[in-house]
Amino acid sequence: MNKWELSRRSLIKRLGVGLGCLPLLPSSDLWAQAATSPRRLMIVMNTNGYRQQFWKPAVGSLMTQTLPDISSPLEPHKANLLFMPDMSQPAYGGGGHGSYVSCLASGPNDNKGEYRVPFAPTVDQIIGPVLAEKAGIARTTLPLGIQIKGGNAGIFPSERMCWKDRNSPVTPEEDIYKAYADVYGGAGPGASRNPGDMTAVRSLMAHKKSLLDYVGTSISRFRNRLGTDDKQVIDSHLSSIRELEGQLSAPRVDQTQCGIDPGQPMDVLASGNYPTLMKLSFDLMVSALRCDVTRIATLAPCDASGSNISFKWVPDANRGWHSMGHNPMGGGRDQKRAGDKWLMGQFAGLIERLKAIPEPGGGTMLDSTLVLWANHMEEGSNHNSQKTPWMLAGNVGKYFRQGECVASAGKPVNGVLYHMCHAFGVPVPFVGTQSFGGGWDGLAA
Amino acid sequence: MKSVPRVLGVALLAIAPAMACSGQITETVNDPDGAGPGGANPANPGGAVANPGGAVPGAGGGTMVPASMPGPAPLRRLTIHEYNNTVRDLLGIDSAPGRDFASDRESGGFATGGPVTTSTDAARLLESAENMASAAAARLDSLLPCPGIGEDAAAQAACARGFIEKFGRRAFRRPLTTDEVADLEKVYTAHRGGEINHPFKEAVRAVLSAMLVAPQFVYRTEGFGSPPIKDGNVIRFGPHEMAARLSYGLWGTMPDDELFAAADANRLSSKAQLNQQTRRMLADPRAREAITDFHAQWLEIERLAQESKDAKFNQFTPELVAAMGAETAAFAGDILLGPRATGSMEQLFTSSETTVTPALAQLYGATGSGAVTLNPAQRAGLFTQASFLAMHAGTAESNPVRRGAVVLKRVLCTEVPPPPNDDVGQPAPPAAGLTTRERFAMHSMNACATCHVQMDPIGFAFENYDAIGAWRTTEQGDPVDAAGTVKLASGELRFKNAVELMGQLARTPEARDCFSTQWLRYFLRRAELPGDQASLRAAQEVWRKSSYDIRELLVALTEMPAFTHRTLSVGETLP
Repeated sequence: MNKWELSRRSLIKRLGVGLGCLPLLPSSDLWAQAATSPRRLMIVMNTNGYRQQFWKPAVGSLMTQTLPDISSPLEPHKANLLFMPDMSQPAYGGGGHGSYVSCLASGPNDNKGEYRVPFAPTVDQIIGPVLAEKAGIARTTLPLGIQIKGGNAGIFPSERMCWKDRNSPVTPEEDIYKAYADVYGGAGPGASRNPGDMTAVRSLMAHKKSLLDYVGTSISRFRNRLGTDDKQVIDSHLSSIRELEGQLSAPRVDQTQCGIDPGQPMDVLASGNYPTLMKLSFDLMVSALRCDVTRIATLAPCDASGSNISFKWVPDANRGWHSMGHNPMGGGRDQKRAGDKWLMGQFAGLIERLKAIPEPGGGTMLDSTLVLWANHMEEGSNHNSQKTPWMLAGNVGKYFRQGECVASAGKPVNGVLYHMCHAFGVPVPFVGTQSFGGGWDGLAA
Repeated sequence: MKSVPRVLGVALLAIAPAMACSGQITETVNDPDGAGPGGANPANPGGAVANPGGAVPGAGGGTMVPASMPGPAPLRRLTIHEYNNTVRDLLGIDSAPGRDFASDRESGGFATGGPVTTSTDAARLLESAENMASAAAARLDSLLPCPGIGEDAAAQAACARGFIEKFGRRAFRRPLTTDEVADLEKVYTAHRGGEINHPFKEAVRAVLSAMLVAPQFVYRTEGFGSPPIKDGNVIRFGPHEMAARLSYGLWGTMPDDELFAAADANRLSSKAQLNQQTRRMLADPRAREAITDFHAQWLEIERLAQESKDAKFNQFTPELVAAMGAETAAFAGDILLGPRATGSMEQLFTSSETTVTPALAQLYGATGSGAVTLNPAQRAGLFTQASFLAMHAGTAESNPVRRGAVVLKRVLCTEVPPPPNDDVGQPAPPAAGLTTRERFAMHSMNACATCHVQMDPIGFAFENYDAIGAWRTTEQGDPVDAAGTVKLASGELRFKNAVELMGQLARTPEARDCFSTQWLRYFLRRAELPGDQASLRAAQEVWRKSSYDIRELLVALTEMPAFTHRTLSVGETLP
């Protein structure tokens, strides 16, 4: 029996469940079933660093200091935060934009050119499949992006921050409306409970399944002819088909139960819509986690340079992200500082949103959600990838310390990735490279 | 032996002392035994695919290729450009549906279809196939072998089978195997009954969707309709593979009827047959597609439309940007194809005859539109065109490093590594009395010098052009200094600006070697391997004898073993 037949069996099993529940499974039912809150992870990666002198708190407790200007929007949430400034990325031996691509894997890479393709999975792809498997969830992660295509740092792979393995970058969905439709099936309240609709939905599902089955069979027709590398390419295609089948057959979740209506679609490529697109992305990530559509949601709000992100919605910034990075000052103003501060405001807004959602078992969603707000370089003006500033907000199982700025200078980012895996019950011996991929003190509570 | 160092092309004498830069010049072909970095992948509890090959498909890595054999042909997906062209020629659909796909990936400096790795990728392919099938439904009768068929189920099934065989042959670019026909018949049958229960034409439309989402359509699998053809120790591409290699190489799209006919009659194997087809194809208007595509990728200007410039450049409108791209396409197209074509590489680097819109003429300080001759002291060849200059510049200022690095990489085939670990020194901000050259001069005075001495003299040659490519003789109140010296193995070039530099470069063996190498990489969509060198050298010799007529280079390359043969991939077993 080949792999494909195996997958079809499990698909049919899944379809049996899914079809019975189609098209909507009220999320309140799902919600009520959850005895304890699941552990969830959000990752957001920035580029071009931050203006360190206005961003970085002093090492030690955050509770006894006032956060600097750029970080000041986070002041109300500092008890929930862990700052990790100045960390190294030993696996990436260079500065510049390239570390964006391998930052969340931080292990062996192809060592070619500036954008070095990682050879091992990024942290979301280490944790995601384990959590999804345990929980029986079809969607291992929800990867979103905003206006990545169009950045000019270079072509692929500068547009990819998450990788399943060396040849499998995770393509983020850059059209937020497609992402909403994808997660919620585009189903509105009450639209889908009449029997006529059910017949049409069943027919459509059977049609899609027939096509995806066909692709799987077709791949198996020539897969055995391929060499090792090509097999990997086509197996990755096969697994993407399986993933899609799993999602199509999974119960649809009613977005009115736990989501937010994205409203009338706006142009997802228009520069001025960027703040709204970020808000919609956070809304979808939070609601998808809350409804247990997935356990991990990632957002790439730029490619490796962000040069096409104009910041014109911040009057004091109003210049391309990358350009501000190189030359923070413009027109007598510190434009980069203004842009950085806006980003911290977005982070604060996300934390507030998580805090506002009560959990059935007590506490808020922030108590069971870890947010990694990463950046792959120190400052745009030096492009230094060896003083990487990261932040964690929220917690899972009270694993991480909070309310601190950790003494993390020169310590590898791998340690944070390692502890993230452990916090989610994935006890890896190290992340990235053995010699520097283990944990380090100061992060775990 | 664990790795094979591969010299991509050492163009500059200056490289020798520049140890920090030399690491990028020598590229390593990965070891196949898994003991390389890819073999260690312990952080993989999710069961992700292990990487025993340590290889990157499309780059020719992971393969121990004997020096006497051409390299492998990694499985590759159609690029967005090829996908769009193919659906246009297959179905008459001109909507460029591939634009929604994730970006292509780079291989050997040129695009190849991006990997399909997530449900998002799979959903986009499926959505595109369904949309195209719907768009084609209106003219389904013209695609069916039996238009106006009645209600007889057996006749309908026979008609569906006829459609699968006839249309499938064009979609898969080769005859279908019996199994493949049966697989598609199964899709038809599934749609005629059960939960779906579609009428005849709806079911055929579903079969069409299936063909368009099939891996045989979206990947280049023209060889999988029959067993591989052994030719000594290597594999010779079969006739339908050759048809597709020619059509995607020279036209960027699927084969035409004549290529299909030649493939069916096995008339695509001898040098004479390939020579005749390549010449025919170069004379066809479709060759402009590939010429445009090659030059856009070679000059790295494909993303010009996404460039944004400082507000002071209010003339930098989408219309002007489109005119810049169109100029380069027409310029290269006219030199290589059509009645006035000379095929001359030197002309690509030096001609002042070009095609402009009124707005672009204004940027160039010229008048008129259409075919014009620009001031040859300011504009000569592709590299002094606004498309190249604006793409490789900052938002407000020129960027000598970027321009220099692209010329090094694309004209001299020399890769420049990224900046080192520590702080990347930034040039001083723009200020009155300080030219860009002066701001960047510090690169040649510190640790950065080892690399920047290669890039910067070339980049400074373009200082007569601002961030959108307009000519200037002064900057920040000071005169522009674009003069310089570049040392090549073949000799030293002294120039007073980019016009002189590029004119001299065009006649160097280094630039000629590199240009022909770039075309080979474009055809193969991978970097050349040691075993491809014999083919490359032979084609270069033919090219030299033609006084460097690029058309003769292309004809010669398509006849060479690097194009007609491949070696087995690691792990590949012959049936």
